[in-house]
Amino acid sequence: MTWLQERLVRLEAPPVRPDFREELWERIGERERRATHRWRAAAIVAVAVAVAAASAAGVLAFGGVSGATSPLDQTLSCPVDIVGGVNKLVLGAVPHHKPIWGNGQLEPRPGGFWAQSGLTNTPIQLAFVTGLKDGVTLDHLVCTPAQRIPLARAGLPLLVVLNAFHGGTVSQECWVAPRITLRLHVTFGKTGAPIAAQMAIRSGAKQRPVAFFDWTLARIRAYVSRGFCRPGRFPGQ
Amino acid sequence: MGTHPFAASRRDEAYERARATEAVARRRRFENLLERHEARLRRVAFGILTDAGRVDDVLQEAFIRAYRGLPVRFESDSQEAAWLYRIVHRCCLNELRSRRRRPETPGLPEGMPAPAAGSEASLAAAAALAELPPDARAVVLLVDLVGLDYETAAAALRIPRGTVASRLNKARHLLRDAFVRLEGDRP
Repeated sequence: MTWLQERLVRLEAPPVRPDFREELWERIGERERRATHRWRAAAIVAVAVAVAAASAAGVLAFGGVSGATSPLDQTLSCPVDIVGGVNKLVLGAVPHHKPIWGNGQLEPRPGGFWAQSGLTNTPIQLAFVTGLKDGVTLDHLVCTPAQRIPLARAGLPLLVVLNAFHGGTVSQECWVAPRITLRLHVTFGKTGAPIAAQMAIRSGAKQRPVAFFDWTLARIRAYVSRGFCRPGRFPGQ
Repeated sequence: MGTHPFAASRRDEAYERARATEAVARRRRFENLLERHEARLRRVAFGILTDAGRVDDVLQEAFIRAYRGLPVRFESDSQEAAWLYRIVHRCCLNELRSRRRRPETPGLPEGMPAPAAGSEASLAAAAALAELPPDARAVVLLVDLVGLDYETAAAALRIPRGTVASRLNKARHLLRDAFVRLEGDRP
């Protein structure tokens, strides 16, 4: 140790304030809450602007989907958020059920499926299809158009077939590359509600097949890669 | 049959649970990071600020920023150190800038206990450091006090390695002169 270092190491940090850590975590919590509020406000503004623009143009806000009767076919490249150190894509599906009475009215219970990115500050639903009017959501805020990928199972094994009679759900967590390519094809009925849809998902630049969902009002066929995905917890369970 | 799985309330519930789990893991990782670095970060912050009364506030701000930007993993220990020291250094510089705008008497705030034993030597070291420009203080603290290598110090300060070497040389000379003046001592 040099003469200078001998003197320098005598430098002592001042004593820590007794409530330093408690105050730190309070301030972190406060800052996180403020950031979440800002994010939500920005998202609401973005959606409002998109809706306003779409209304003015006579088209749809999210991907030109709602109320459309011609089929929708879009391929998007979407980021997948990191959760617990991995880029986690959550896939889910439920079959169509008959409406039930609830809160004094008939509550529809349409089937559908979705792909959701991560579960960080605000979860992002990349794609969501259900058998209701305006029942298609594609997140064009985080996803960008991409080169088309085949709308096929691409060798993926069949995970399950769901229908209204047998019920059941699909819930899978897939550890994928930071970006996925997602192709969604939706056929609409006369009311503008989806009646059939297929979704293919591929991971990363090499576009390895992750999942393929083939959905109609009567049943859902889910094909999922066993290398990428494992069973996850169904929302609400 | 209960609530339909597509019902927003059930989805939100699941998201909240997952978010809570993630937040706990993140907090644990961050606490672990602080345990390993906090003592040295405090000394560096004090050395740059040379004002004991501001160290806690500046460190809190730095830790908040660090927590919010905490990467999932670091490639190496030196990358982790460089990242953390960079944040503390930036916060210290911000504090020094704002202090120039609102000059006030440095020192311990009311109610704060006096520094522990050996404080005379510590205050002498702080006084000597105070005579250096902030960029020289930072480099001499990171290399000679914390023991970072030139590459890590360069990454922490976002300057080239050669600049670290030249600043360090200059800082050592200045610091030596300052100690000699303050202590009347000679190497």
